[in-house]
Amino acid sequence: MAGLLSACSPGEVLSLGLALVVSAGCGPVASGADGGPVPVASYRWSLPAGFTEPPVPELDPMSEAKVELGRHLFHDTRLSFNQTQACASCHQPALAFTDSKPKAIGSTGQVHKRGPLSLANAAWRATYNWSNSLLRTLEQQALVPLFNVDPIAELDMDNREDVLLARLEGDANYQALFAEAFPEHARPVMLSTVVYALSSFVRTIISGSSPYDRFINGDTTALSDAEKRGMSLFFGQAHCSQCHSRWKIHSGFTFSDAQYSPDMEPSDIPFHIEGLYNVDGKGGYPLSDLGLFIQTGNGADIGKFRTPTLRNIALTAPYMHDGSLPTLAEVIAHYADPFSLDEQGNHVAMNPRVDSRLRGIQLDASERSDLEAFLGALTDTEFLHNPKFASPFPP
Amino acid sequence: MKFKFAVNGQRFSCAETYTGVGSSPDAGGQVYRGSYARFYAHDVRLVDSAGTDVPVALTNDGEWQLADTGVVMIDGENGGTCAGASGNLRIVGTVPQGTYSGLKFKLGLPFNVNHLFADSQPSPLSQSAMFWSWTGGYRFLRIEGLDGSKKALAGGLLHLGSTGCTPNTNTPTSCAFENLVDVGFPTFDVATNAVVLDIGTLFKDTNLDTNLAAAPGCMSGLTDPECPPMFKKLGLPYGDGLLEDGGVKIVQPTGSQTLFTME
Repeated sequence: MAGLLSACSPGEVLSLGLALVVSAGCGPVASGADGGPVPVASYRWSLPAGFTEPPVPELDPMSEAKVELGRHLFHDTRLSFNQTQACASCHQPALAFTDSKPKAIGSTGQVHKRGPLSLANAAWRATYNWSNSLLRTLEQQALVPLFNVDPIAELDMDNREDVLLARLEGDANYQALFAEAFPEHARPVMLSTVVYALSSFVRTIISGSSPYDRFINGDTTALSDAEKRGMSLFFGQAHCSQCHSRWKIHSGFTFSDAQYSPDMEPSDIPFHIEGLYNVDGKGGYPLSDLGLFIQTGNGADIGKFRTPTLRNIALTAPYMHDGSLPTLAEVIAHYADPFSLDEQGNHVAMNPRVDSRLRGIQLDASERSDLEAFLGALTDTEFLHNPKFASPFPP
Repeated sequence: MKFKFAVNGQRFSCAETYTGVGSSPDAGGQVYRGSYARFYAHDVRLVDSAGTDVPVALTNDGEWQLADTGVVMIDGENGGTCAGASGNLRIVGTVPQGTYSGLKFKLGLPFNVNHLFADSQPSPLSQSAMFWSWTGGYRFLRIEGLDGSKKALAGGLLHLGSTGCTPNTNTPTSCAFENLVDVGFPTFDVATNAVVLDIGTLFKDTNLDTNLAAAPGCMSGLTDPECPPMFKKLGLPYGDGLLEDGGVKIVQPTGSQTLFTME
């Protein structure tokens, strides 16, 4: 199955201050449902300076029509069985596609064990979910909130794919949107086309216009002195960039080392024990969430999670996979003091199995304040209010 | 070939309430109503008089069977409190003319089929009830029940499928625990016999109303205490707690499956 992901321009290392205009479109040719080639109008990415095109599966080439259909589906509560929740209920644009809850609540009221992840720059993830190495594309990930039953039913469409498709097919507006997005199909409302359109829309959820971005692209006034000091700490003494950057330099669109790269072997996708819990003094995690271990069954993976993005991080409180740290100051203290949590949430000694990159971080009060200021400079207000991500439905 | 679902020897129906199911300390056991009862099978064979396995060529029916991969879904759901309104309790196929004395099949999906893109597969691989995206595959077997007030049972649930799969560019290359189950009956007459899956047998050592830890019932997790009693009946290796070094104690099966019987 190798080679299904293709990127027109591989993720190149960009040096500080280099503004790069990425040319659009590289003439995608899709495989149709029957395997035959289907001509696809060249899609023009609108990318911030310094960004290269994200990988796009050959099965699901980008198009404006698919993105527009996907925007409708993303905001449509009819995607949940009881019609109370849409994707956007937990992934709210104004909160950088999170929901401010410590743990997500599904359409049936069940509480998830983890919080919703920001979708900013989701197109470049090496894997999806908080801790899963098998979900490699947005197309694979989309099936999880639609049909999952454990830990919770999210949109609660398990065993109800026919209900979902009938709702969409019975709507004249969707008939037109699907026909435009998937002209190669006589009856275009299918599970695959729902998934493809949602994925195409999510690939356009791009954040790259923060003060930090303006600064590295040449505007030296974009950051305050405190933010600049915080940036130096971030990429140095505070060790943050060792995981929150793909290249250990100021580039990296996602502020995560789990960023897609054509030369990253699947076995090398990074997951880390960041030491949030230490329930037994020996590095144990609560049985309710053992991280990557749940999927791999490998004891060494207990407590491992994917590095989440830091873009717009000031807006996505509370923090960590289960929302257990309420503020960024608390997160910085977790690494710099350092401490872990026991099952009751009390501060205890740092997990002895913590990733070595997170050891020995020393920051005084003013440094912590500067670091927090820099994290605030990753807030992209244009992104938060981008009309391209807004609901097409009346409130 | 005929299949039947049963609960402690009684015919399974989604309209019925069964008592005396599970390991409850209460006299008379616990109450069980069906909600899900379906599984995939493949590699269906008849054993000829010389003892040779002869593959059964499945008929493509557009709904339950796929001729090219030899996959079939057996589904005991029939309305009532079940998710499915009508199911499938047979396998239809052909073998060369001859005398056959035995039946064999594998519970689950062939590796390559298990890791296809689930959003665009033909029936029965298009059933979202069997999608198991976070493991990179499908559920092979899904048995779920309800209590007397028709609420989902906390303990009486099994989702069986491959776990510990290794990531590749898009789909896994191998799985540490494939969890395919070999089922076979040396003397099986397709004209008169039927394969029986007894849900009472599956949950005989399970407290239906209690979830001890991890996922509800057993979702094939290595640290889920509900899994060992069910996996023993399937003849599969299971996890039996964490070791001091952080690994998992794996217990290998001592015999073959006992969940499926024939009548």
